[in-house]
Amino acid sequence: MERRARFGGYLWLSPMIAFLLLFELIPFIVMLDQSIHALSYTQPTMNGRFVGLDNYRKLVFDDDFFRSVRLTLFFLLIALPIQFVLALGFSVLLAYHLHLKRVVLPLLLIPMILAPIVVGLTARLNLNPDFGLIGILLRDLGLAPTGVLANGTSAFLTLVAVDVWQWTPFLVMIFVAAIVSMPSEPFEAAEVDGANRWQLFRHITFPLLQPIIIVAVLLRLTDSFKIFDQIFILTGGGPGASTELATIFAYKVTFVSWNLGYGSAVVAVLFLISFILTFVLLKLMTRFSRGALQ
Amino acid sequence: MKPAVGRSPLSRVVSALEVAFIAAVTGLALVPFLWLMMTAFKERTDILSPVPTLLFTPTWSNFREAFIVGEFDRYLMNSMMVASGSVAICLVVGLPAAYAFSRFRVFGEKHLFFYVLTTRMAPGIAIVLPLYMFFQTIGILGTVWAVMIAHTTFNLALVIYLMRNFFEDIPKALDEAAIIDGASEWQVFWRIVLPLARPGISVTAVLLFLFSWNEFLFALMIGGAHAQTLPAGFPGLVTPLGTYWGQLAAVSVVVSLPVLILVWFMQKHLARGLTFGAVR
Repeated sequence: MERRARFGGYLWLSPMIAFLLLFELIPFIVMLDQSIHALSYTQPTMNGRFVGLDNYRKLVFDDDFFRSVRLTLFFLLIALPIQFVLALGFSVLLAYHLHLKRVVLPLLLIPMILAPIVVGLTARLNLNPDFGLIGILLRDLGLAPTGVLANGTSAFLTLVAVDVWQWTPFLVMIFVAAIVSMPSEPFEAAEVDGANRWQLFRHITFPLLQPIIIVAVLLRLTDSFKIFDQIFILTGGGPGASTELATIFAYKVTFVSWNLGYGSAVVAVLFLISFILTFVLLKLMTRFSRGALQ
Repeated sequence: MKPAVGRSPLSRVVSALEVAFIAAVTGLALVPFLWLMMTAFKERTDILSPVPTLLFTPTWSNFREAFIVGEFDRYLMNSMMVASGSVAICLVVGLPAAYAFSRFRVFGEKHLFFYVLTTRMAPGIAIVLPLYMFFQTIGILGTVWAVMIAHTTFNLALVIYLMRNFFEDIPKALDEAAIIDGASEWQVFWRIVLPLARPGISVTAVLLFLFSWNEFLFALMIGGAHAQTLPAGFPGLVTPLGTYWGQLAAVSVVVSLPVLILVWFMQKHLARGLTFGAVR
């Protein structure tokens, strides 16, 4: 039974609501207001003029913006499947050798828990073709004589690789936790019937994992959509604009070109996208996570 | 699942190979970061050597350059102030809210929850730009206070989700009994629920600290030159004249050490914290 509090519990919530209003809602409204005005440090004479939806109209015709969104999409579509396949395989393997989990998991988790900026720097150092460990290796193999970051496609794929390195362990962590908490009877019964490992995985482990896989996909989607620090220190969006994902694009419009009016419109649209993602995430999470892993 | 070991010689060999494979993957995944850690203790000539140097005379000179000659001692102070201040704000604002969500029927609970979560899920730039303009207007841009508040915006969702989760594990019969004995709602919260939730609070506080400690973009844009944190100091070492690899690596070590130590001690709770309680 839930109790009723005075003022419907809102007395307890008042610090949070005050914080949300003051530091989230009001700034956001200020920004929306900004997005219908001209505000650019490079064209100060126009500043403050009401421009209506001009900034949004500009956005619709901005090829750079759409390219950045497309790159983000590509990034998600390439990085996430790789992470899930690798993590599934590795988790099942690790579950057969559970005594290793206590040592292996914390070590594997290191890249994930490091500051994203340190992750990016680690990659940048190691990939340097002149003195980086991996960079030298790739150069000597003739794969990337001038370094993987010098070429657009390989720089983009490098971002994918860094994300895989950083986040696959996260999936391994939650998959192993899920596998360990599975009931043992179906596995025992199937083994008695002579099922091999692949059949066990295909017909028992994978179906039982499905709810948590959906939660994990959505968590990774929203997180990967946010990727910024690693790209910032690794490529800065370059070479050209080959690694300029949506977040980097928004950063460049606002804090590099100081076009704050247009930037506000860009950011408002990005916020809308993540808003929709979060909405779906929450709906599915409440549907699947209850009873999935208790 | 049970390990399938020891049935036949073949399966024993396969099992050993699997263990070797797991060990190899784990080892290889660590190499890049170990290389960075080693770089922190190398002289410039060793860092830039075209042949990777494994054996070198370790030196503290990069740390001295960054933290004594350079400004990173100040950034370290800022980092500590920002992270602990942000944890404090998060707990003061978030604990009562989490308690209310776990105990009372709150009108519009779902909508509030959703709203809190959106700030966590939005890309950093979508929070930082509004805050930047707002802080500029009210004149606190470039102070540690502004960065603390900025970090609270994304950590608030975590404290509310996790602590509601922990509060719900505390039997409600306890507070109902106390209410019957004449305790006020506040006394129940302060004297009964909070002490019982102490382990959960420390886990949450550690996670909040880490996320603030590791954060880059907010600290860079909102902290400005005066309230820079350690991560925000990174771009300053990547200059048109060259990249100060030694100092960057030294700062990375200082940023990473507390993270590694704390994570080692709370691996058990990590899954819960990083999935918003969806995984226990």
